[in-house]
Amino acid sequence: MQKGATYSYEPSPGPLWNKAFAAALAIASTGALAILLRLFFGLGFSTNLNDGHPWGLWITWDVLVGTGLGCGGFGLALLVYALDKREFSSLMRPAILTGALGYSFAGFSVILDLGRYGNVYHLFMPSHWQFNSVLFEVALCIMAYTLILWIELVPAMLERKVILGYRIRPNILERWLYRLLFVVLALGMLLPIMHQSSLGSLLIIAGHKVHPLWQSILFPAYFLISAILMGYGAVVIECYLTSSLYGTPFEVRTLGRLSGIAAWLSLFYLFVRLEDLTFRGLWAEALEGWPGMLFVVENALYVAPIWIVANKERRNNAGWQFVAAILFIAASALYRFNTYWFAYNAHVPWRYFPSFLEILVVIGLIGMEVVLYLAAIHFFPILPASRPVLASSEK
Amino acid sequence: MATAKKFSYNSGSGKPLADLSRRQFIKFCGCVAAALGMPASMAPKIARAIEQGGRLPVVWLSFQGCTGCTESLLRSTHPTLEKLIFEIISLEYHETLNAGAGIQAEAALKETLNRDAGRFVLVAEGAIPLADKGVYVRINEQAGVDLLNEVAPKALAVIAIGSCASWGGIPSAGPNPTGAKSVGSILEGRPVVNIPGCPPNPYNFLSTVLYFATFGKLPELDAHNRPKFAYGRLIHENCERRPHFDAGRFAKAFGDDGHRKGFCLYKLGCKGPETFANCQVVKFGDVEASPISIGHPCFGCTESGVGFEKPMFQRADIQRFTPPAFYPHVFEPRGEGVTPLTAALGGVAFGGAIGAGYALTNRLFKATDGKEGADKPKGGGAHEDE
Amino acid sequence: MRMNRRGFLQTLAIGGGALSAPSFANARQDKALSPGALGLLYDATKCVGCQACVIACKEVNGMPPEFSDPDHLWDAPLGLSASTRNVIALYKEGGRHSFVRQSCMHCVDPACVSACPVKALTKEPKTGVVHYDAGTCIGCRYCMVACPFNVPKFEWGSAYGKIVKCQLCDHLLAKGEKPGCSSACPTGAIQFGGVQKLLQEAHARLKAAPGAYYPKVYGEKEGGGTQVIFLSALPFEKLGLPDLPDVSSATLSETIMHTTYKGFGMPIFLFALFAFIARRNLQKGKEE
Ligand code: SF4
Ligand code: SF4
Ligand code: SF4
Ligand code: SF4
Repeated sequence: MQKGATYSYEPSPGPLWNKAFAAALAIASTGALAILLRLFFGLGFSTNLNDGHPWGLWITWDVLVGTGLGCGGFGLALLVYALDKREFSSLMRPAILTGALGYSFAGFSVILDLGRYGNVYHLFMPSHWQFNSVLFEVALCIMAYTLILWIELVPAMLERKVILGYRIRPNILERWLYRLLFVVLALGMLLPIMHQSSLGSLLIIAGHKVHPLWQSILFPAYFLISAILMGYGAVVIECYLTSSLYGTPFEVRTLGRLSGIAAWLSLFYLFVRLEDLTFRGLWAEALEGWPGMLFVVENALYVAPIWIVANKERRNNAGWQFVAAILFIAASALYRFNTYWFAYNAHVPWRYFPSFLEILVVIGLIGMEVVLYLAAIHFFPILPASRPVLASSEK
Repeated sequence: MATAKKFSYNSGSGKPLADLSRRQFIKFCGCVAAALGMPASMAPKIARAIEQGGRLPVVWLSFQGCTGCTESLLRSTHPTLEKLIFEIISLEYHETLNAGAGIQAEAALKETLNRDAGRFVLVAEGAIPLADKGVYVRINEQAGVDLLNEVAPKALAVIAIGSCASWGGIPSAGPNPTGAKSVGSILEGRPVVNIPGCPPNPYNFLSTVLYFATFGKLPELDAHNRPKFAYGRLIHENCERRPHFDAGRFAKAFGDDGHRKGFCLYKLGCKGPETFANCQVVKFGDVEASPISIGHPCFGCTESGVGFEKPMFQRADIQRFTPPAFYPHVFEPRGEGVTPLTAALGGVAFGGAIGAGYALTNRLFKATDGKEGADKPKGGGAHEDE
Repeated sequence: MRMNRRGFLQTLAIGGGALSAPSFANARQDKALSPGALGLLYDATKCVGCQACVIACKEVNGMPPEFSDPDHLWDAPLGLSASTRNVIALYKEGGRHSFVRQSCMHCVDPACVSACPVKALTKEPKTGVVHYDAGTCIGCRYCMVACPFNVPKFEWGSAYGKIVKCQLCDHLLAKGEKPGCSSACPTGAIQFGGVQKLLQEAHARLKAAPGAYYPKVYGEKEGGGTQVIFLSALPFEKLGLPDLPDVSSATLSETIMHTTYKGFGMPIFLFALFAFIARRNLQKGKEE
């Protein structure tokens, strides 16, 4: 196995303007319109959020799933830099780009979701800091990590020596960046551990309002694992999507190994989760009613990809890998939706289903992310080059 | 007309001016105190004021009105009119009640204006027409507005009685061909106490006059210059049908079952919820009657913009909302559930994602089925670690 | 659906086991009732459902009416909301019924205060009144998620809404007046006063007429205690008051937070570890 190969990256082939880009742009503009409506007419007008479900689709999808999907960079960083599994480094840049976009848009949608967004600067004023608040920790940590993700992308941008007609001379910046890279990388691993687990801790204070099947003091652990799983899933899907869009090579072996790791992690997760229930004697409730059904589906979604990946043949098959990746994401996403939405009950029966505009904003934000992603990989060397440097130099 | 003279109860002449006994008199003062929202202990003070201060001279001018206000006063029995005008106040001039007529009456008015200037109370009944130089009311060759402007400056206080004088009333209702205006709007800059009502309750008038006589100042007024003791609360707030309103029991048509049972008249257009007056407390004609109590909705006569303005059966704009006589349940379900529209959009988004995923999966399966392990789509070379 | 005390403690235990190590050495204690704490005693057996408190609360706080009927005839809130800080709800079962008042409980150890990221919600140290400041609030609505009684409500109808909840009429308290609701109550079902006194009073009532009451003072211990306490003839759960463990959810949440972030020890340690490994691996990469 080749160690230490420095992978090279290149901008995506073909013109920026293609059908996918146009479609994404159209969707993004619709979303922008919906966002304007929210800003002018308020949350009550544009969403179905209510006093029983103060957090809805924007939080569950954009923040919980969005940042989860953005954790590919974090998960890979753990493998590449902490565990020194260099073979995964070719997947790094696209994953970090997805992360940067995912986190930025999560932040953006939180701003949309804030009722009094004009006061958001209070989060930066020490006189307002409230260290007991889990949300305070999550907010600052997510902002810091978003910054880190963009910094991690700077090398990619610097590689392109001409930006918009300006020649840039990156020498000094580059030197400093590389010298301090290890700090950036360490933060890139630490911060997600902090805030992804805290996304789970957020709900501990909600106590009895979260169904006992989900309410658990192990929330931080579950959220951390589900974040990593979603990140891995996102990496796999993204690789195949861009490869088939641009005809770049599949990384079947590497992704197979990644899927294997994800499966082990899921297994561990399931073990703890079920053990937690046994310990609290909640099995009778696990299969009861509507929450019970959600619980079963959620965990079945974890079991299925483990079964897929358990077989070596399937593990090294692009199609199966893809299915498994989707299942990892679906399972973790459902888990997160359950905790914040489906199994969250304000004691009094409150109905909630997102409004038309709410859904439109979510779709629009996805459109915007895709537009920016396509533009970024078009202008900057993000996707892995067709061959490793060594191989291409031999050519 | 009687000259101003000290009120004397069973005065020395041995000939009582009227048969108002001391007991009845104190009782009357007690009623006035109650109407003013003052304790009964105030009654002697009011009595003393009437006895010692002498009777208050009153000049009553009639303009563009139906004389309903006078009629209403004529029908009051606590006290009766004659007791009022002979013993409590000194009515110097009143077109309907004057003893004399024509030149005699006008002479009496002139005399009063001279003698009692700055001491008398002016009561104006009816609106003041301004169109065509005020030609629509002429008294003694004088336009109504000119008469008002002549008398008012000499008065100690001005009371506009009835809705016409208070805010225009019927004459001012659209299209208002005579240009009818309220007394207050003519005498701008001078406080005018409004006692609206069509007709007004005589006790509100009497109480105001006696408050003035007793305390030497006007009672507390609301934003429309109405005495608060009489116009401080909504009809709706003192209505005997209110429990029906709170419970949601409404008459829906005249003579229907609900109407016969005495249900609330709101849905028949009752303006009680937007009309400030005490008709439901101090009722009319000494038979404990009010429009609402005989089954007709209040039509809002005391309220400018409501009476003669709003259609009779149009629903009122409720001014003060209060909870009904029923309650939310402890576990009251609320919130917006799924609708066809949102379900459709959600379904399209979700279905689209699934469809795309399915298509791509298919493609990947095909790509890998061709060759073992890995394969290239569209010309790209498969990258394998060696 | 509800997590009972046993389940709660078990979760705590398994969590403690999982986090092992020093863990709950840092366990924060529930906050204690301040001696000058002010509150309300609501006695459901005395409440006749006149809703005078609802009207009074609206008046003293300048709150708009809230309609739930198609004709908009009544100020008829279905529960607490941005325009309603105090509401009387009805529980009916068979021949029995009881009214129950809903409003902020002014928790001794409030979850909302622990949750708010910017100190928009604060607990007045002396009176214990939980106060909200719209000028500080960012509108994240975490307080709504956190409050075990679902009290804070958001002004959804506004383009720039705020949180609304009962603040024990602290604007009236400042003038030496009593809260609107308790002043208005014609039967004395809402009594205002020092919490210690109210608790004594509540227990005295329980003792004087044991048959008339469900034998508990709700709020004495629930969720770490509340400054608004309840007496009722029916079990409190039926009246919508959740069966809470004695330890406040703020305690649990902050214990977890501070166990992991105490002095930032754990993050700093992890950071150092990651930095060290990353640096070594980066150098190794360069050398090869
Ligand atoms: S609407 Fe009219 S009839 Fe009904 S309670 Fe009010 S004042 Fe009385
Ligand atoms: S009841 Fe809710 S809003 Fe009131 S103090 Fe307690 S946690 Fe805060
Ligand atoms: S909505 Fe406002 S008061 Fe509530 S937690 Fe957020 S910032 Fe604090
Ligand atoms: S204390 Fe004041 S704000 Fe709170 S419920 Fe009573 S009246 Fe309303």
